[in-house]
Parts: sequence; C-alpha cells; structure tokens
Amino acid sequence: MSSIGRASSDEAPVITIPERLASIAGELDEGIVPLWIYNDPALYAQEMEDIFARTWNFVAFEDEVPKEGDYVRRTIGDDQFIVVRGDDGQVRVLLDSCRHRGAQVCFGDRGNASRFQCPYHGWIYDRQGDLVTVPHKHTAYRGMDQKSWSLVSAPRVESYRGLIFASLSESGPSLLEHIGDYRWYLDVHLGLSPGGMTLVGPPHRWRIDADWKSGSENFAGDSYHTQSLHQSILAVGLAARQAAGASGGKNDIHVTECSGHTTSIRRKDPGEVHFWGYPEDVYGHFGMDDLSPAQFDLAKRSVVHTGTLFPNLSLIHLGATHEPGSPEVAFLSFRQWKPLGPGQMEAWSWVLVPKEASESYRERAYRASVATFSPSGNFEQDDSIVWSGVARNARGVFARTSGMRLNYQMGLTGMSEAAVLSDWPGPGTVYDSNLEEGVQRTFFRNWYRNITQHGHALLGRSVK
Amino acid sequence: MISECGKVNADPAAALSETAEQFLYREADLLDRWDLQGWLGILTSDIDYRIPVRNTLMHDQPGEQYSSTAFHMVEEYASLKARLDRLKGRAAWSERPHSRMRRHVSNVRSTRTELRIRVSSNLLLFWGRGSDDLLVSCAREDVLRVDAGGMKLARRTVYLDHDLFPLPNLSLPL
Repeated sequence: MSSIGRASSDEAPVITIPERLASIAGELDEGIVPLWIYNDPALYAQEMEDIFARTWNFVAFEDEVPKEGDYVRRTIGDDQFIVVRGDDGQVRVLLDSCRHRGAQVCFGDRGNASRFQCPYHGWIYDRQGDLVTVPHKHTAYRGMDQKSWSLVSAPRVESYRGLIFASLSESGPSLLEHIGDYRWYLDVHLGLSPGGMTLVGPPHRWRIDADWKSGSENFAGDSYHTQSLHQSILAVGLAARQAAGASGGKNDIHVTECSGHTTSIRRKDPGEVHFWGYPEDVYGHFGMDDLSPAQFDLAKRSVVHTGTLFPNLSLIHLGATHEPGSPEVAFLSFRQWKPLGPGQMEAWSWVLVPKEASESYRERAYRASVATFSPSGNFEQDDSIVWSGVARNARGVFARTSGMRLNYQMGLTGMSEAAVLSDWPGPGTVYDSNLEEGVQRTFFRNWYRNITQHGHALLGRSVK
Repeated sequence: MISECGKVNADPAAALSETAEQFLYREADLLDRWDLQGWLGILTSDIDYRIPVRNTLMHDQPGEQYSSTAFHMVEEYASLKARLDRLKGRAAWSERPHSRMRRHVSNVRSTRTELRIRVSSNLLLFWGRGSDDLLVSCAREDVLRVDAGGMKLARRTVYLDHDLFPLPNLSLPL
C-alpha cells in the first residue's frame, strides 16, 4: 500500500526519497513531522539500511543466555540471528543461515545447544558458529578451508549492564559512545540494586499494525497522552494519579537531546522516599556503589520514568497494581518495537525486578506488569489501537501529496512555561516541565540524522 | 445437546457432560454479548485464570512449550473485575466501539470428582474491529465447581496455539 507504483502515468512527477526527506529537514526544528513517514515502503527500506544495519540494536539480556550453549533467536531488521554464548563465555550474534544453501539452522525460540545442524545437507556448526561437520568432506570437498565457512556473525557485539547489543556495521561508534550521556539515566535503573535487575520470565511478543517509530516516539516521553488515552486506568485504580494522570506536575521533567536519547520523569517532592513504589524491604537494598548522590536522589523521588534509547529500545519504570486497593508494586519493563515492514511491528516486552526482591514480590510485580504493560495491559491495550490508526492513515497517497503535517510543537519557545533547568545535575537538555515535546523532537532529529548521513544508494532511487 | 429445562436425564454421565458443556456455551455467550457483569457472576471468588506465553522449543530441550513464568494474563477475581470495570467506562478507547467476538467452543470433555468438574475444550475466537478481523485458536483446561449458586468457573488455563500473540491487544478473557 505504498506510494510506489501508484502514479497514474509515466508523466507523473518523480519525487525522490531525498527530495521528500529534504522537505522534512527545515521543519523538524519547528516541530513539524509529515504523516507519511509512519508507513512508507521506500523509507522503510532505507531505515533498514541506514538505521538498523548500522546502529547498536538491543538483542537480548545476559540473563537469557547465562550458560555456554544457551541461545535465543532474535531479529535485527529483517535479518534473523542466533544469539548464543560460546564455550569461551562470549556471546555471538550469528546469522541463522547455513553457508551451503542458506537454510535455517536453529528452530527454537530459545534453548541450549552444543551444535546447530542444518537439516538440508547436514552441515553442522558449533556454539561459536564454526563449521565442524561437512558430510562427505574427505571425498567431495578436498582442500576446503572449513574456517572460512563459519556462520556469518554480527561484526560487533557488546553489552552494557546485562543488556546485549549488536551492530551489523564493522565501524561506527562503540556501544558506550552510542549510549553516550544517556548512561547517567540508564544507570539509575540498572545500577541501583547491588545484585542488578533480573528478568521475570521470557518476553511477551505481539504484533501491531503500526510503525516502529510510534512506539519509540511515545516512550521517548509522550507525557501528554496519559490524561486522555489512559484516563480509564485512574477510574478503576490500577495506577496512581501522579503516575498515570495529567502531565504538568510541578516535579515532572523532560530530558531531551541526551546523545539522541530521551526520558520523561515524574517525581515526588524533594526529600520524599518513593523509589517508583518498591517497598522498603526491596529499596532497603539499594545503594550508591554505582551511582552518584544525584542519581540516587533521583531514584529516591521517582514515580515513573519512560524513555527511548534510539532507535527502538524503550523502558518504563513505574509502580502499579493488578488489583485496585492493594499497594502498588514497582517493576521495570524494557520493550522493543521491532520493525516488521512498513507500518508494521512486533512488540517485545521484558519485565525486570531487583535481584533482592522476594519470590512473592516478583509474582505481584509481574501481575502488575501484565495488568498494565503487556498485550492485555490496561494501559497498553489503548496505545496499540491509536498507533494502528496512525499507520493506517499514513499509507494513503493524499496523506503524502496533500502535505499533511503533524504538530510536534508543544513547548517550543514561548508556547509553554517549560524552561531549561540550569542547575540539573545530569546530562541532556532538561526541561522543568513535561508539557513540551522536545523529547519527541529529539527522537526525530536523531532519526533524520541517521537516515540522511550515509548517502546510501537508496537515496538516489526514484519513487513515483 | 441442550436438554429441556428441568428434565432429568436418564444417563447421569451424559447429564454431567451436558452440564459442563452447556456451562461453557453459556459462558461464551455472555462474553460474546458483552455481558461482563454476567460473566463475573459465574466465577468463583478464588478463581485462578492464566494464559501462559507459548514458546517454540526444540523437543529435546528442557523447559516448557508453555511458560510457567510469563503470561498474557495471570489473574484473580479482583484483577479480572478491574479489567471489566475499566471496559465499562467511556474512556476504554480500544473497545469503543466494542470489538466483535464470536467464541466457537468445541471438543468438550469433562470428568467429575465430588463437586469439581474438570473440563477440557477448544476455543476458536473470531475477533473483529472495524474492517480488520482475526482468528485466535486455543485449548482450555478448566475446573468448574458446583456450589449452592450453581456451577462456577474456578480455574482456567488457556493454551494458545500461537507463538507470536496474534491480536494487537487482548481486552476480554479467552
């Protein structure tokens, strides 16, 4: 349902992707984004090449592959990989495609394997991806250099505090450079508990007919939507008003332009101890070994954080309950909006709690997460419907040719009281209000930078 | 299968089977008609309701096809009531208008011990919203309990046939 091939005659004007993108450039800083970018095949192809094949992509938690031979199957863009821990303890990200005919060699979502055997002709690879068995090798493949026929691996794999990322590009910034200053905020979530954050079960996966950017830009800090889209949560008491209600609270802040990543934070008053709603027997373990006093103080006052690490790994840390009237319990969820085609995604969600939490706490926290942020989540049910509508609208010709533009202007200079905090102890350009959309403008500026900086061949492809 | 009201079936085993079957049909009808209050009325107060996440594992791998730690829903009475109460409000946007659902219940098998009936069934759900529609296929293992108020659903585990959850969201129970 693309703009490609829809032109009525050969004389129709040819509009190239670069021209269409160039028209965006001048408007992004004014908070204007065209609708068509949420569902466009040529743009999707370019995102695959210029974003997902180059940037650092989250692939798995260390917790998911703790032992040698443990693996999970994951995708990066349209490519399928086996994320496997080798005999040397290293995690590799191997293209799940036999070097003989390209067939798939791994068929489970996860598991433990000593080898991966291609069913087609029986070539076998070990946990490092090296080719170890070729039937009839000595009679029919004399002189074959087996070492050069290993499974193809992602050239760079690095992890940060239990999160494993892969880059499909040989060169480019390191993972730490990619995360950049955003480390300060990630550490508030991942460095607080001395035992670290631990996964509760395998991820949720579900399909949404919506563009990956809808998930990323929402979690980048759409503090404004809760009072409308999620008002029903408050009515039945599944989350506190301060976490799920209207934006504009006096302790709400937006972190923009933090190495291209963002977060929205709602806090209690100074001096209050909240830690997102963790009870004292959990937060009593939290410490400052890995955090500065300012980071620890932020954690202490925190009610809810959402954020997006570019391009598509989002987080939400909040307290909620599955059962109105019972005390809220906090949990951390990482979610990934995996592109599955123009205007289509697979949503993945993992739930984490501090390692020190008791079994009964884990259970309650997991139930609260399912009740709020999951395919059946009382929050998330409503998000997916809205995002599908955006993608549905974005695919039309008129949506593009009419110049349909979206307003991402909230809080631009003079529009709201939002002002940059001059004494904020952390990185980024931080606003003293969440009634502003600099968080989403940051996402789109970074997206635009990524998609235009490489001058890829696709840029020259003409699209009618 | 539906016997005349009040008529005593000559074969007790058949009557038992009909009763459990009829219960599932009635339950499906309540949800299809969005009679959420009616549905809550046929749950025991200690109901345990869960939809485990399904994983594709190699058959020689330890672990379960159905997760014991990850669920699309893992509910008790209060959480189910909260879900349905939310949907009654005007601001449950994903269900305005209500999605169209038709539950096709089949292959019902039951065994009875004392006042508990174990029922297995298959469910094919037609789900439609606007011009989109999808099918969800699953098996269910239920425990029904009989008390003074009649037959009630005390336990349900839904075994999805899907690896990737097929719906954009799940608002009503399966």
